[in-house]
Amino acid sequence: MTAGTTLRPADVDELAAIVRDADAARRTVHVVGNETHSGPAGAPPARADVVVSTSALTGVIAHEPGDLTITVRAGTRLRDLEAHLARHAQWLPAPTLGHGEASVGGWLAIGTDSLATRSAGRARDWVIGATAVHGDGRVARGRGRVVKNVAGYDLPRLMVGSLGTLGALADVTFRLAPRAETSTTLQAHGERDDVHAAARALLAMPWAPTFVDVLAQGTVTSCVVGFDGWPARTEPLTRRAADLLATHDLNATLLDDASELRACLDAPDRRLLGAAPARLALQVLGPPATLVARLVDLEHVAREHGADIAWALRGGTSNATAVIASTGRACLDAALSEARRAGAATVIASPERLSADAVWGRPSADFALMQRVKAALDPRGTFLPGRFVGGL
Amino acid sequence: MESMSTTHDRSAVLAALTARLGAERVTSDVADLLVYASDGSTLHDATPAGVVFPESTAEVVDIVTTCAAHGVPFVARGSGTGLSGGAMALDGGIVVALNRLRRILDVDVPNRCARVQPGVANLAISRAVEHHGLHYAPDPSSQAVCSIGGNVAHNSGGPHTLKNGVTVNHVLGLQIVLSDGTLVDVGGPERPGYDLAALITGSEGTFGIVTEVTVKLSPLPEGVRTAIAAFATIDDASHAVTSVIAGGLMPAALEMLDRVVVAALEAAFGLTFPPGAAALLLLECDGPEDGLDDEISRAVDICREHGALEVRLARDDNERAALWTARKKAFGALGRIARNYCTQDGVIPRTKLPEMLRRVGEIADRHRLRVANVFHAGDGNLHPCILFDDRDADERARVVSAGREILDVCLELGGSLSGEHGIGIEKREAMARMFAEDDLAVMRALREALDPLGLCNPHKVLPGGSRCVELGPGGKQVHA
Repeated sequence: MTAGTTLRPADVDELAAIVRDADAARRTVHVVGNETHSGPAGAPPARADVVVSTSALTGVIAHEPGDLTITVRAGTRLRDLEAHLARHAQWLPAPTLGHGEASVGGWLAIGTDSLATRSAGRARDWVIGATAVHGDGRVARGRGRVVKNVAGYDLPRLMVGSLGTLGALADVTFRLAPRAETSTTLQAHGERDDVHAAARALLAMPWAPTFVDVLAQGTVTSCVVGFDGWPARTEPLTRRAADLLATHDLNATLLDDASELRACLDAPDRRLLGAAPARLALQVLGPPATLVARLVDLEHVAREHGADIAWALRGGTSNATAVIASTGRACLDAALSEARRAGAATVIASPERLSADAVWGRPSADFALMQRVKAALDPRGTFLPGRFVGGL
Repeated sequence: MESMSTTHDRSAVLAALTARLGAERVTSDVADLLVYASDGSTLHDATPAGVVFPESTAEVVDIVTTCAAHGVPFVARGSGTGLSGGAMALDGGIVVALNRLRRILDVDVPNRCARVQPGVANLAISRAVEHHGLHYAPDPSSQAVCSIGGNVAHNSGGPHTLKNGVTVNHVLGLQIVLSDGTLVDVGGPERPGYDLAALITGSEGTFGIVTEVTVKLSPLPEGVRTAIAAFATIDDASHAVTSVIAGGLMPAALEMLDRVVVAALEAAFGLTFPPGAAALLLLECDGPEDGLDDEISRAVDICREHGALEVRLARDDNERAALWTARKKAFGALGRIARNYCTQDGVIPRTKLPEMLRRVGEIADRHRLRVANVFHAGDGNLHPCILFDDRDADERARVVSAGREILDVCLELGGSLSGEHGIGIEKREAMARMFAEDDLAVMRALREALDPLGLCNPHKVLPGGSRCVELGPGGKQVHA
């Protein structure tokens, strides 16, 4: 094993052997998927002695359409997974990370939620089982292949969003949903206060829109509402949503082709301010009702520094994305400071390399517990020390 | 690590707590202890050294700290409705009864969440927020009494989890007292880091005692449609379930009852079903009124395509309640045809339902037992109920063997030991049949990391350890 080369294990045993050897030799392991890096990027690893790519760990291991479950290897591209599922009229709420080039393992390491989070739940809600290689090379399978299961600790869910610091995913089992027969998307531009009031009103309705997002680009603010299902449901609900928007003085447009807009809302960190060469993309986290005020404050800070800003708020979730076009360190520092004044925020993309603390912010009160979890699953710090929250 | 506390240690803990909390909130009276010796499963019992009734988080911290100082194990207990022996105190541990911690601390309507103490009953949360058009979605059948703390411990489900998810999908944050007495707030989707709230949910009290739960509140559905379909064979009903799910519908509930239950319902409550009905399928769809009639009629059509003998659609809330009567009275009806029954909880892939039910029937025949099946068909979560008479020692032994074999078939078909009742003490040895040694070693490492003192609900969930617990079926069960 030589530093600088990338190893491509073809199965879980080879992956485990690489980790075991590295662990014994006190070398660090950096597992990469397709390196599309969408979602919180994390600080660069302090040192990565061994780079392991999951690009040879691909393909479907088991798919029983009637059970609505699928088991795939971690290196499988999201695009390939989606194409496979589409042939069976099935669906998984995976975001369009890196235009589908991202791997399943890379997606789950970051844990990015999809546009449908409000209605379909978070990425981790769809993971029902996984096999992972932990720090000492031990291969552990958690949960299983059934949609309801409380046997043992939920190791697979713990792995989601852990940025590869607890081990390397080898395969993952998801539950699936039937694919929607129809989708509709409404967009309504208007005065900012009207848009926010309309979005709040839509979120209070028991109608189950797939998403209710607010998009702010320059001086233009819009509310975007999507429905997915079958015509007998989506058509009347779309009409009701348009009527409700009208009561807020917003004229809604039913989009013929919403694929671009949905893709933008699905990956706003990449799509907003698309032409800006240097960009700071932040994920602003907090109680749903507090997010708008925090984004508006962030706008003020960006404009004070003469920087363009755009943001997308995923209504009814704890998650918003802001993108600021800036090359200046002063603007970056001020934006980070503002974003974290009243809650958490993480850096998804930055014009310059940042420390783990700058990327993730200061650790929360349960950090000591996270350290214990890290020590249990990766006792020698084989997986990427220094990259995640608080240097985990 | 397992605790090796002595009688002296336990007495010291009880004396110290009595001095601080008062005699009325600490008991070691034999008659009192009997009440806390078992949970809803009544499969096994273990008399605790004492029971303590904290009334605040600070008192829970005090109790845990005191136990830790003397190396005495403890287990939190909510309403005692658990079905896997999870709230039993083994090794003469202390039961920390949380039913006095029953305040709803905060309801945050704009953010759709509520912060509650662990002793709050599941249904009490929904009752407290229904005037806002909201509810707490997971609904175990025992929801009127079971506590949210117990739900978190077991990651509880219920008949509507097919669409709404289980407890972990509705927990936004927790406050937990670790075994060394440290009080920690764990999140949650609003902070970066490991998802510790999800890890603790379903850990059956083996990481500490949860003292606050922040739950997600969901909008009440605008409308509900309920239908019940009778089938001539369980295979027909099972195939209908698969087609409904695969057909793009997402019913809120899909519950099945078999021939034994149908007969019991007819005998006990005079409910009538078409002649020859061997399986009943209860379907419920909820959501926006728009499209709801279409959704239920699609489901009904699928049932007819699969040979349903009759389909009844509720026209109003009263008729809906009447249809649910069959499901809700199923266990009561069994009580009329058998002195005792023992509820199993296993999961299989949905498409294996017909095979699984055949195998359950074969196992019952081989052991000369009667089995009634009432289950969450939509997610493959079975609850075979083995009927027996606990005065018959031979029959009791056969019940234990049959239960084990049923679980083994679940595993053979690619399923799980538990869908919602948990592992507790009842299934901890079976964990070694579901998981490989390395899988369990990683879980054990996590447990030792979070509870290095080995005091939080020892001997539960994971197999092994020094204590051998004698298992055997006991009295009547309630269903979750």
